[in-house]
Amino acid sequence: MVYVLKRYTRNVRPGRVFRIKMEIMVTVVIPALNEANTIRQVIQFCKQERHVDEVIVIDDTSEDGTAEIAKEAGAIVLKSASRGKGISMKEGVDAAKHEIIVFLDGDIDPYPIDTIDALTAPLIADEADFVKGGFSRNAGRVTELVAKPLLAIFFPALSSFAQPLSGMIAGKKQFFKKLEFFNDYGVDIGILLDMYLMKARIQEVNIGYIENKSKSWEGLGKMSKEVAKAIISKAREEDSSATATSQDVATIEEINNAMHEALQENLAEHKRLAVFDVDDTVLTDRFIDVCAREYGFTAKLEDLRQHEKDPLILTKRIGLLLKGISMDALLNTIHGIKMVEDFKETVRGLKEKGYLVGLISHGYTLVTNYIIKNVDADFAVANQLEFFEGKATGEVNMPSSYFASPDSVCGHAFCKTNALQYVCEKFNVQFRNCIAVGDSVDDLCMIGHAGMGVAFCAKEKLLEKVAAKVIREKSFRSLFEFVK
Amino acid sequence: MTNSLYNILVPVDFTSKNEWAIAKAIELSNSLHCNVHLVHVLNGDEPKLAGERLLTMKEHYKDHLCGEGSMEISMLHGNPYQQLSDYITHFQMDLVIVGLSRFNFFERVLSSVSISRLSRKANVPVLAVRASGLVHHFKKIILPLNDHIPLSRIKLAALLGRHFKSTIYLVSLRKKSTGEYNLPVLNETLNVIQSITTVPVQSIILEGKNLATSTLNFAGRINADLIMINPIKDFCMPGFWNRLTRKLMSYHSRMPVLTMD
Repeated sequence: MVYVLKRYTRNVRPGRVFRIKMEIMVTVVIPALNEANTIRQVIQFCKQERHVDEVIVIDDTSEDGTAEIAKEAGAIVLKSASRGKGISMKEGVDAAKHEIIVFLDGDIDPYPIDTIDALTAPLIADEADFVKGGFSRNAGRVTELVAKPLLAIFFPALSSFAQPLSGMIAGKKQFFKKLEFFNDYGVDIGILLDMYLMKARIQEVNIGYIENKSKSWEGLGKMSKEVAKAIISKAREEDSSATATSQDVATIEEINNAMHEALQENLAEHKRLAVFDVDDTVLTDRFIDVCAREYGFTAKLEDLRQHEKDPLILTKRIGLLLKGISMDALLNTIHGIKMVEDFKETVRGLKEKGYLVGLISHGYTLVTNYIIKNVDADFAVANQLEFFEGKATGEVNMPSSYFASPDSVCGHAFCKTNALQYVCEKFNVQFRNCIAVGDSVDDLCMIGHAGMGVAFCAKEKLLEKVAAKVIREKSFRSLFEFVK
Repeated sequence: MTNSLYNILVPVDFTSKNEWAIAKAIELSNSLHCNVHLVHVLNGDEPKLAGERLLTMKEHYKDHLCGEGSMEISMLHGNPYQQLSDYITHFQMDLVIVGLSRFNFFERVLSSVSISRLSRKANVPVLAVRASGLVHHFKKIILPLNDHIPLSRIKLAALLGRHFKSTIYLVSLRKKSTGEYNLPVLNETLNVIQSITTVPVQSIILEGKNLATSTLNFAGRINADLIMINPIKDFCMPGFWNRLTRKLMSYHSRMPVLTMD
């Protein structure tokens, strides 16, 4: 442990003996991605704490000036090598100079006043090796409906934790060093499970009331999946025969059904929905075309489009063209594509009128997530481009909602209307209360089935014939003439 | 199943025509799981008596419903068209079913519901049925075409077609009244249907001078189950008198005819 000698020199006269106190100091690590609104306050809060000697912000390539603000506020700022909370945390552990490390989230303001004291006290007193910060808040949906039931099955000893997914943790560096960090949402539960499996002494302390941002429904789905994956994979590591019994599966199914019903009831108030295509509609260009120009595969792309008529295989093969390109490079590419100028206003206007706003795209979630974050949309359905160690593997996972079910309204095997139908059922909205906006023949079916189909700068004449409304300029302003 | 038919309205005036309209509404409701609304507009009759008759009607028919839909009864006061239109708009009716007896002018004048007027005023599809027409399976749906792509009819035909595993027959006269060939509209409509559904479609070019008569002849030959039309003169029966009284092919067809604006 590193001990810092603090001299208390106030009122010390010459000739008197200095009173010297040995105090254990801590490092606070804050992984941050686009937290410009709150990061300064979080750093200032840390700096006020008497045990805190070092505040490290691991910046996950923020685009809103988080790193600059953190530097100004007096934190050590390190730029993460690649995206993901787990990688940032690992880099924070490596950089920390003190044995006791506290991890805080960068988007919480204010923290309860004694947060750091509460988290570090059991470590300083050597009563624990790892401390999880619990807090009072409305029950987290993923915590209650996914994490706790799975912990009760695979790790019953941890089922009593009030907030097993809390990101406010503290622990000893020697233990953190031995961990393999999951990325994204699985990281917090993964650390708890690793600590448990290492037989570290674990405590949960209540740090008070915390106001946290609600996640989007899409975010909740992703989080549920990653948390469940982390718990099950850790259980397998521990005991390769660990599998859920049929009783357990029935319990999980019951929880799943209850969750679905609760969501349906909750969403009954949302009666209207607007969905937008992405390439050449929300964006002024096609993402894959821009990538082709930047990374030099335009000819291959054109060749594929000309010869491959099966949309599924075409999507898979186009994905392969992106193999080896880093996520950061692709994000930079997205950043370089302009959005239709008034799209953000349009989303805000539609939401004010009670619409749920989403994107249905044959592009990638990487692009749709970027747009969602920028315009505060509610959901997106798109293909997922797989990444390994920050680089595209070329594999593309298509969402099952694109594929026809026996109840498919159009019957097409692979179609955006199937995705729209899935979204309508999920949000309890009737087709006639949907607006669908698109530009190409891919959107034709969706536009035909929606209550109000909008052909936006359409390339196909047929699209304009099917649509209830035609927009020929690159602006969504005129949409409001038809929206109640 | 996600469908866009949630509520069916049957205007009730306690005549025998109501019985088969309600029976058809129940058949559809049991297939598509939608609600049936029996609505009576008071026309000088005693409200209490009419209320009792409506209740008796509901008691009689409610056990016939075996899907997820339910039966609602309502009594309105005032102008029948206005009241029904308001009800249709306010409670989001998706379909109106009316029973038809054999057409005669006097009955038409006295009739409380005119199909073309209702479908225009309330902007809702009106299905006219006779005692003989089946509605629980629409295997052969005929879509007669005039000069425009009938998008709303296509959407409804696609929905019914998916549900009942039907074939859609696009029919058009070889020559329009102007002497031009009608093939472009037929081709475009075919493209639209094929773009939004996988329901099988057949395009048929009919000979003849009147679309309504030719369509009815064709429907009879293939034993069609449903004809979907617009409330415009192209779908009226030929002859001066028929045009004057706006006699849509609904009034001349044995099989169910759905009219939508």
